[in-house]
Amino acid sequence: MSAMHEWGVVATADAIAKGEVSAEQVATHALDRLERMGPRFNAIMLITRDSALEAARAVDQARARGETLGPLAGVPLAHKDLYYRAGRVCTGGSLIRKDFVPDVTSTALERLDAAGALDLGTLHLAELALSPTGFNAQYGHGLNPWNTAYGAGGSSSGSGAAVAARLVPAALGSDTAGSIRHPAGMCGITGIKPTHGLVPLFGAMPLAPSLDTLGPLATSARDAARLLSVIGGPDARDASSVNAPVCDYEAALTGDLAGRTIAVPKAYYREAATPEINALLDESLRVMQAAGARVIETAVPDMALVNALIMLVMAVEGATLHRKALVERPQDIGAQVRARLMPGLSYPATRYAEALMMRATIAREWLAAAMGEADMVHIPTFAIPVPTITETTQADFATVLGKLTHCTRGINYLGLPAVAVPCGFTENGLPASFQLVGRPYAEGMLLRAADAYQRLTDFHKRLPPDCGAL
Amino acid sequence: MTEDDWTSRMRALNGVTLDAAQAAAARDVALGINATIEAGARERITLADAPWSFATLCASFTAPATKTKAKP
Repeated sequence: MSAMHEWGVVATADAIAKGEVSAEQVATHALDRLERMGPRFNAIMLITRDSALEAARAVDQARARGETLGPLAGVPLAHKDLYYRAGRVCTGGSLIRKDFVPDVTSTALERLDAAGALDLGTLHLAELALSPTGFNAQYGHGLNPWNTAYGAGGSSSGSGAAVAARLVPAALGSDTAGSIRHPAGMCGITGIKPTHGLVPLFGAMPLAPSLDTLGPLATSARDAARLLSVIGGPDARDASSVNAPVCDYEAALTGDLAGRTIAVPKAYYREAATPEINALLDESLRVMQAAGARVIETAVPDMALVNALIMLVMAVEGATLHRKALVERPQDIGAQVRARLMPGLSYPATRYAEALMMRATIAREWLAAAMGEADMVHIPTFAIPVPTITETTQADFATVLGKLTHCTRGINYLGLPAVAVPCGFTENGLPASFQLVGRPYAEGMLLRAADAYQRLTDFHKRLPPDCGAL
Repeated sequence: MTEDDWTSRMRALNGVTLDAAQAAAARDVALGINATIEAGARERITLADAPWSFATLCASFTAPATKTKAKP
């Protein structure tokens, strides 16, 4: 049997439910790994050992009493430090929030609590959740477990690193322009950005509410499915949450793709990809064809417009939320973040209204061109090999960031769901990843495809160097 | 619009003080994005368009209202 830290979410929950291991044993193992290995990747903001062990013992006692356990009972998790828990500091990765103690708990954490999950603490993120690399001028960079000269990806950098290093089997992140998919892709794990509105935003620090989405990072699609099934669904405290189906996403994981069609838009996405990324993407398509999928080539609409739209909406909403800090405490916001927020103060109100009004039209245009009659779209998560931290912090960092978010940011404007799936390694030894993008609320379809792929590959099972036993 | 105009406007409307380099960078990014969206909107938005809202966005997604089982 594999080591406990390699079990993942579903196997850990099953082992605890069967009494093969206690929740306290599992929690102690994960806490030890977080404390001893987490700092190596700058993945940790706060570890809450005592409360986690107390919750673990409660799970064990409930099992001993013969009570029915929740689907995540005893599973040790930790989350991006923008999820509020009443009474616990939530920094948002920023000095301007370093002493912020919320008096409410986020809906997502409440739902995980109700499912029996353990909350071991909070994880590093990019400053104000605004960097695709894990850049944080205040708390240091999030480091990649595969090679610490590289960023973990952001903004959910600690979530990516902690799951990849098997410190915890899964973690929540947030995604406004790729912030779940970048760290998942760059760290070699699985991450799903749900349809906008599927997972309630209440109690999660916003960046741009029209674009913000919350979702899990996990090693496998199956583990991500378990978490998404728990945290999804309407919430009266979040007016933007929609009356979407609350699904048992695991039930969708049939292991095959017979009768399903995958669209591959060559323009824009594949044209931007390097030869080695394209080779890995092509191989991933061959695997999915072996699972029964049909592959067709499609086109894309004007992505310059889509990119401009998300840049405007993100900058305007981010600058609106952080304007007080931009005015009163500019020295406490890193230069890279200030540079990305500042244009948002200068757009005419008419442009912002136009950007919102065009959203459904543009989404229909994109779906018609890129997906057509297919069931999902297959594109890179990032079109270039993972860049070094040096490459993402030097003078032309904006160019590198633009390349890194080339394939992710537009999806948030469109509001569509997307899952990032590891598909091999580039010559620098860092992971590569593809995205599957679906129609609204097609998370079950996307997870089914990702799971079918992962039944035929083992990239998601590979551990970074020196991330085995303590 | 000159950099000085831009800097003055940002200070007057938002209370933000920018140095010359920040102003130049913000102005260049904003003008480029502004022009792209203005052109896109001119092609797409008509007088008949309803104002945007979360409700109109959700309606455009035509989400199924049923629950409990994922569609495979």
